[in-house]
Amino acid sequence: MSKKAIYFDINRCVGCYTCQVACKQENDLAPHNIDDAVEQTSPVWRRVIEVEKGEYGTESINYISLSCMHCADAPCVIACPMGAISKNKEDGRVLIEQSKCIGCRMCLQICPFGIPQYGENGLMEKCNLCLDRFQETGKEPACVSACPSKALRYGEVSELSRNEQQKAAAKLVLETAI
Amino acid sequence: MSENLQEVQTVCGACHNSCTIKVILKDGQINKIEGVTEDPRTKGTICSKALGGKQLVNDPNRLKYPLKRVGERGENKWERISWDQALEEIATNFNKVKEEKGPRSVGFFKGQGSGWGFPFHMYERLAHAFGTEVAMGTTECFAPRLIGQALTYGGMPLYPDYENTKMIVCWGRQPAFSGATQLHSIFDAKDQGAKLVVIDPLHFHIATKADLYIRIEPGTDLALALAVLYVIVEKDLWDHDFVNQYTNDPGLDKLRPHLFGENKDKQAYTPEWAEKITGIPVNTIRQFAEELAKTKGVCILAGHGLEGRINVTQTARAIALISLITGNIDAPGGDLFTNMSPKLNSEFTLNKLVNPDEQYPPFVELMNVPQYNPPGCTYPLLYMVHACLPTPDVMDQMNKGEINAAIFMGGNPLVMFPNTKETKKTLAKLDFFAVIDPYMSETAQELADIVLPAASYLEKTEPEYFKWDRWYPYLRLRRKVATVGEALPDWQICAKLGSKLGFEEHFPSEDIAYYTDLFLKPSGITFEQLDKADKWIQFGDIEYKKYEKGGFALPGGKAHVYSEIFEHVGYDPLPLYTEGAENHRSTPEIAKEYPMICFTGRPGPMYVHCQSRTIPWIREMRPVATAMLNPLKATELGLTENDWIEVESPRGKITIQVKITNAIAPNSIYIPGGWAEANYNQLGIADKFCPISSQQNYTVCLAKIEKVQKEG
Repeated sequence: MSKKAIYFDINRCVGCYTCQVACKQENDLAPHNIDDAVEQTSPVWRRVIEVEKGEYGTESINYISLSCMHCADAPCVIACPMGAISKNKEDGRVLIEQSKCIGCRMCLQICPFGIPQYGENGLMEKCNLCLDRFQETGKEPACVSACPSKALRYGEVSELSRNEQQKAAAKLVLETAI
Repeated sequence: MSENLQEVQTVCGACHNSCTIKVILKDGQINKIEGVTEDPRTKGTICSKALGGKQLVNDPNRLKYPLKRVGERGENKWERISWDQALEEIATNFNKVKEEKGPRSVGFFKGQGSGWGFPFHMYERLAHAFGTEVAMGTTECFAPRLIGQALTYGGMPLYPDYENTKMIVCWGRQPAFSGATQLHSIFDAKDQGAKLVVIDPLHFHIATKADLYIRIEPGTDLALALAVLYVIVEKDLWDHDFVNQYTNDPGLDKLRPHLFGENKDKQAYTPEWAEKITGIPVNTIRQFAEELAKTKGVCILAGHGLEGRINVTQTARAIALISLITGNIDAPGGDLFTNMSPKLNSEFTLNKLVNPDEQYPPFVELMNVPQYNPPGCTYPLLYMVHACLPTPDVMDQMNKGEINAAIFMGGNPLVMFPNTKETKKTLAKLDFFAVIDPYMSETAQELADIVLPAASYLEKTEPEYFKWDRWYPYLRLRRKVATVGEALPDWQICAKLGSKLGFEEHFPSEDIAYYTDLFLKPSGITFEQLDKADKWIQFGDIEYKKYEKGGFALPGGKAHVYSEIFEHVGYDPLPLYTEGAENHRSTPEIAKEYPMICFTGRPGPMYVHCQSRTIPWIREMRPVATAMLNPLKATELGLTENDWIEVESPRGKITIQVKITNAIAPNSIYIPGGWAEANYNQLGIADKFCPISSQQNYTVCLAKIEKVQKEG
């Protein structure tokens, strides 16, 4: 069974915002006019967020590229009174069927990451791991292909973790000069 | 791919880094823009600016037709006219001025928007045919770094050897903003153990991932660079073999005493001295200098953050000297020279028409000593490396009524030039002013008599060799994939106007193949070959230590620790420290009333200069300008996030919202560049110049701030 996911490498993200526009382009999301853009009212399926902590002199600033985590036990699936959200056990995607959605925003109440977005029609929309793109071209999600830092990586969950372990092991050797 | 989909490889022009991109057309319309995996620079990645392309060609704000002003200047009243009429009116006005006062009374001004490389050389062809030179060009950015580096080691080594580097220094350079598609290479190098050092007044973006982040007072990089040189020499960490054999200062017998205090100012450039100016602790300066000098394979990415101050060229030179005396130039893991372009036709620009005695080399090949300086040009080195008349000279000539008509290609000085009020007054003295631009820019709206609609990079076909972050030696074809109204490529406008001005022999065609073949003649590459090439045509290889065979492209064939050319022209041959035009040390009396260090720079990752403000996907991410302010200062003034402040310098004031962040020091305020609504250029200094490059002191000044009430 294939369970694919996006891995976000916080140590590589420098807040260039490419992933956010790549998502807009791929899914043809609003805004399409300048007034909506300035108002910032359009759905954002992937958002770059700047997080700052610490006092001046010991400050740390990080950039987090945030989108649906496609949780294994997704709370939004359970919270939706209409059964509009489902977890695809085959490929791991959490998907919303807009025809069933009533726009009650229960999913937003329960999502630990604040992911659900609501467009002009008031219905929930969010990242689907570029389902159309995958079905049409077999390509990885647009945000992943675009990322100039290669901070976003896509693959089998097991493969993603194996890669990270390999990198950590290499770093261990490098830093301790073994 | 289904039948109505088509993929076209082209070259991005959202900035002048020129990444290879592919455009996916659906029913002939742009559907998506993506990176090209085979591109060795981008490895398939792209950036936020490039991804605005689809909305760029559909932007209702784009200019679609040539326009003629019908109201008073600034009334913004226009009528649509034909291309023929527009060009006829420009030609008539230009030729009238030429007959009365000579060709140099007409200005051919160039900004960044229309790109460099081929369109720039077409514009030169036009100006030279007319009898004058292109003006402005990169005076405001880049030219000082070009002078500083070219006169130290004969060119700009713009190929960081990321695959083998052991240390990357981003010095006033923010890859998250400029050349983002190199980020993966920087992080791959870091994974391989390379150390990342970032020197910047702002602790944000790439600086947050640095192994060593050095916060510096804006405008004082020269002091740091001199102190780093001091430590390297003091600790005897310079590369003796390289310096003794390949530079003009064996033993560093000239540089050493200069650094140790035997100079005009009797100043030893110790870390203790530099700490007082830069605010960087002595130990940090020593640590950085020693680690850099002990590392073999260091890339120094010197950016625009070093610019806009009167000591800019010597800053660029001092940093170049660090790379040089540590033996990192053209060495594995360092900054490498590559062929910047295929062999270009040096006669393409028709330079001999204005400068008959001089074999003027193209941009990439430096001459030995300056021999030609056009009339009215008071900055010969700027002309020598860049072939453009310096902005201050040209502004001066307009003020004196010596330039009476002008055309501006791809620039918006009413937003981008320092001292907006004076700039407007000067440009308004022109009797006739034409603008070539994809948009009705502030400059066009306020001052133009005729506005010509320019095609964007998605709407034109032309050869492209220019890059910015990493000059991989390949030539690609930019291809037209869209049409916007009657907008035309800049090169084609040059050809049309050239012919209209009476230079049919130089502009006999409007066929890109004709000009491409002429332009590339010595390289043997033809338009047809380029058009049929699989991805691109490579015109060089990546090689190390080419100086071992060919030396450096400077007099004597050696790199110049001691600049013989600076000395020849009358500048300090070794960099002396000079203070910025306005700060707590150089103007303490101004600092009493204006205590904050107020500086500007790039507007953020998604914008280039003042561009893209009407692209919805881009604008949404940063809809307004915000000034960065430290929380300690904000608390003192009772400010919370997004409150409005008034920022006032001795020259003007603006209102702007605040972003409160520890990324900036408490004594400073940062105003992002390129926002007409909250324009730093109302505050900046326009009348103090770098004596070598002519660049104005336009990015750092002093200011005071106060909270104001304003409806958002």
